[in-house]
Amino acid sequence: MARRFVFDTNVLRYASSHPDFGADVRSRYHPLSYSVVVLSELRRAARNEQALRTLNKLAGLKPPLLFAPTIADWMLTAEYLATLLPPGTRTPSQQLKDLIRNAQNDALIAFSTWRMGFVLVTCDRDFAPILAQSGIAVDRLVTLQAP
Amino acid sequence: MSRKKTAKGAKSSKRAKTSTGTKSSKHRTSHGRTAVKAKRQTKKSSGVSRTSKPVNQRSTGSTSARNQEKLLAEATRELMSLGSDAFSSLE
Repeated sequence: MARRFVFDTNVLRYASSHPDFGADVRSRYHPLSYSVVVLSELRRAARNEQALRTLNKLAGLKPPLLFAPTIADWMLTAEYLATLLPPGTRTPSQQLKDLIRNAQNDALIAFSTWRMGFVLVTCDRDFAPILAQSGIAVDRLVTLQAP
Repeated sequence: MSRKKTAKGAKSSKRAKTSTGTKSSKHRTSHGRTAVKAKRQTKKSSGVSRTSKPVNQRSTGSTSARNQEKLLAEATRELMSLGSDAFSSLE
């Protein structure tokens, strides 16, 4: 079975606004699968009918073309997020709370993608520490230059 | 005497049939025949698979899976051509 690639939200958003970038990632990274967490992030940011229709089409895909985090993925995510809290911290700052809240979706996307045996393609560096902590092979993460 | 012989003979033959189990021998025979028939039927039914496509002509995925891949490719193309107004900058 061919190794599948999963686009992070930022890759899809850059692709939708930069046609050349979109054509390039589509030709280089296939076959594709979608994380439901990525679709959820796109859904909350969608601003027109066409975007909603397209996202609904993608939400109708079946596994393994569309996959969701499992209980194990949620627990790995919690373990990772716990490492972001300095030891002994009882009341984290608002900044730290925001960091943890933002990191949760990234960790869910990462752990569920890697559990499926897929490769995550992203345009930011937020996944590098998750990869480092999980001990997953480095070739499971592709970090692209944002257009 | 002859009557007795006949009677004895008849009796003994009846007993012999009963004791040797005429029914069971018949049962064995019929059982054997049934088993052979069943085997032949099985062979016939398995022969139906000869009408299926040879291995090199079989498709590698189901129609449903191919349709799913097609749908994904189509929706991905759409998603990537939505333009910059399609999403707010929440991320």
